[in-house]
Amino acid sequence: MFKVEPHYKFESKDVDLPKCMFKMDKIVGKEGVSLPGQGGTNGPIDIQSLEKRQDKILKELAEIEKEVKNLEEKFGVETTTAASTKQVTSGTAAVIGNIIHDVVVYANPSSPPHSLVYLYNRLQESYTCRTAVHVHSSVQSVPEKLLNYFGNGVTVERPEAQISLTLIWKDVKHGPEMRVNPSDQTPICGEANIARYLARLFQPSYEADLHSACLADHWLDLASFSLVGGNTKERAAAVRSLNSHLGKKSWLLESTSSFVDAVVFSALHQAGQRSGASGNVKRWLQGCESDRLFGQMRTLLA
Amino acid sequence: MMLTSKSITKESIIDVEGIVSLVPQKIESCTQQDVELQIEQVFVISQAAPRLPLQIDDAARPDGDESQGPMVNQDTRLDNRILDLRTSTSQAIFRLEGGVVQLFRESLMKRDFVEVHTPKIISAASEGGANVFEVSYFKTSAYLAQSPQLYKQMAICSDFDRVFTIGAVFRAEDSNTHRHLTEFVGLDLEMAFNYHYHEALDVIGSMFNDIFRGLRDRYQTEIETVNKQYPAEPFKFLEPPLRLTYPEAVKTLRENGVEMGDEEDLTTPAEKLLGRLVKAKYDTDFFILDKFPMAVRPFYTMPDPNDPKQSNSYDIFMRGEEIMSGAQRIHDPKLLTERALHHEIDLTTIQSYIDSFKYGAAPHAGGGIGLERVTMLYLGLDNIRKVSLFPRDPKRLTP
Repeated sequence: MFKVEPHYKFESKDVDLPKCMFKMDKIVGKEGVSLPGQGGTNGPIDIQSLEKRQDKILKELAEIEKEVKNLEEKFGVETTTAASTKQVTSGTAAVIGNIIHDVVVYANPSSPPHSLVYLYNRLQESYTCRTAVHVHSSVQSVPEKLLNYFGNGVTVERPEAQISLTLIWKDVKHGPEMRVNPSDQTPICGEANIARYLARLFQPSYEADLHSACLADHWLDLASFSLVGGNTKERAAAVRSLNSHLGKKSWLLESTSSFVDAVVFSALHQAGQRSGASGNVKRWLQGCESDRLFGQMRTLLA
Repeated sequence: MMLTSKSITKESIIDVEGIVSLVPQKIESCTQQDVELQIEQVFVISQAAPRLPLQIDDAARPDGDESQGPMVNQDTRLDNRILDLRTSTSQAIFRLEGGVVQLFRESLMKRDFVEVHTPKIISAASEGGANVFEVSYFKTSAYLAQSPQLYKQMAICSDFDRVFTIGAVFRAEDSNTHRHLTEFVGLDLEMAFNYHYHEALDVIGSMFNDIFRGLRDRYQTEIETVNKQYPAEPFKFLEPPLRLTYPEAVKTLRENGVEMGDEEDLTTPAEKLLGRLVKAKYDTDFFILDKFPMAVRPFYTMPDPNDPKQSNSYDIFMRGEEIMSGAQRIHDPKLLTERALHHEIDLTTIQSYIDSFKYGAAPHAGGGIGLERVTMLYLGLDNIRKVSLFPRDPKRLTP
């Protein structure tokens, strides 16, 4: 290259550095920072294990993706519009505010989601709720007792309710479906998932304890996959496992009834396993029916 | 004989003598597949002109199916309405439309309504003046009724308790849209109530559901026939009907990007969007929107006793289009005068209306629907002219 003379002569010895800025430490060349790839005795091993972990995660993700695809095909749900499901973090009435949180549930009158009654009664403990029951035109007629599904509670006007639960008896093929805000949520399918959503409203902390959250998920999965969606063998196995669990406890999770009890209770009915129930399961079923939070379940089942 | 019968022009009326006999093989190309007619004699009763302005087959072809043959456009159809009405689609449409009237009547009769007939020639415009047709009336002029509203309210004041009326209604609106006609059949009802105007809203809601259920159960074949030419999703509704409030609707619309004030009326696109949002959530094509703001309703609408900005009024929607606009009416002459003055209406033009409430009037509410609009939206058709036998719009007075 050519040599170029400096543009100007720099003679001053002291340079006035501006004092209006913050001082910062040098980033490069500082001691104690080891750049990736250089130095560090166990560097390569770290990277290898990291890579392994990444591969494993990617593989798991792919598996989950496949599973979702399968479910999507099975139930014919469109996930194209699926945006993020808004996290329901609030448990306090103040955060939900005076917004009426209109939860719409479609259910088939031939297999009523009995857990809704329980969930509604629990919601009522923390919020002003109202319910409405409609019959969709795809259904010719429904029994009288289903029209009065939630019992003769005090009904508040729509604008005054914090949570409004609208139940629509509709000819839905794959279990109940819930819609809260269809423009930025996909419908939530399956009774167990609806129960999860609603349970977060009245008991936002139920997932805080990982152990109990896993237990809850175990029973919910058992209800939806083995009892409702399973074949005869799987059903029998599920009932057996219920029976042995209920030998030690009177309720599935805690010392009192929980929404998990309600979902499994409903699943047993839908699977037609109620009449054949014996021993501990039978005792537990009777316990559910007479529980206050199950409302008028006896009349509904009669 | 084949030759002679071939020379009979299409659409002629003929008498046929022959023997009906079973066929060994099904005739796939006909609707009657098991028997055939062996013709012996043919008589022409009335011969059609050899050149038809439109072919029935063309007029009955599904929309957009141009590969099968020519389409007939709307104006040609309406100019030759007699031929157009011969298609099985038109036949089904008007049978179903008759069913709407019958079901409306049945449903209200069942609820102790009295059918009345109101005059169509009136001296003054019933709703303040705009959009009325003026006709000469001997030495003076008169108007064609744009709504039986005043008269059904007067019937309530005459202690009829619950009335309905079916008759022509005239609107001098120069709107050339798919859903406006200048003359249409109005199905109107009005009822006195005891405690709350929601009694009337309940009756209206169940009346609509009676109609929808009746159409679904009794007119299945007609609906299928129409759907063959104009495919549409089946009309969905809830029992009891869904009832939302206006503030809630405004909130939903705002969440979905519509900018509007609390006391603004819904624009047509906003109505459509609301219809779609409601459908996505509740899966119903029919819903009631209650509690409209006072500012967008006519002067005779009863204000909400708890909130002067709201009114005891409601709109009813089918497939995202408004089909009924109704309200509790003011039955107190003093309040009515006040409201009229607030709206800057010349009191002399509505004096007789105000006077009709002077001698005791029960609280009452009601509303009216257009027969053609209900039929069109129930069937999911795109133009109101398809469901009016001989439509009248700003550009068409014939046939």
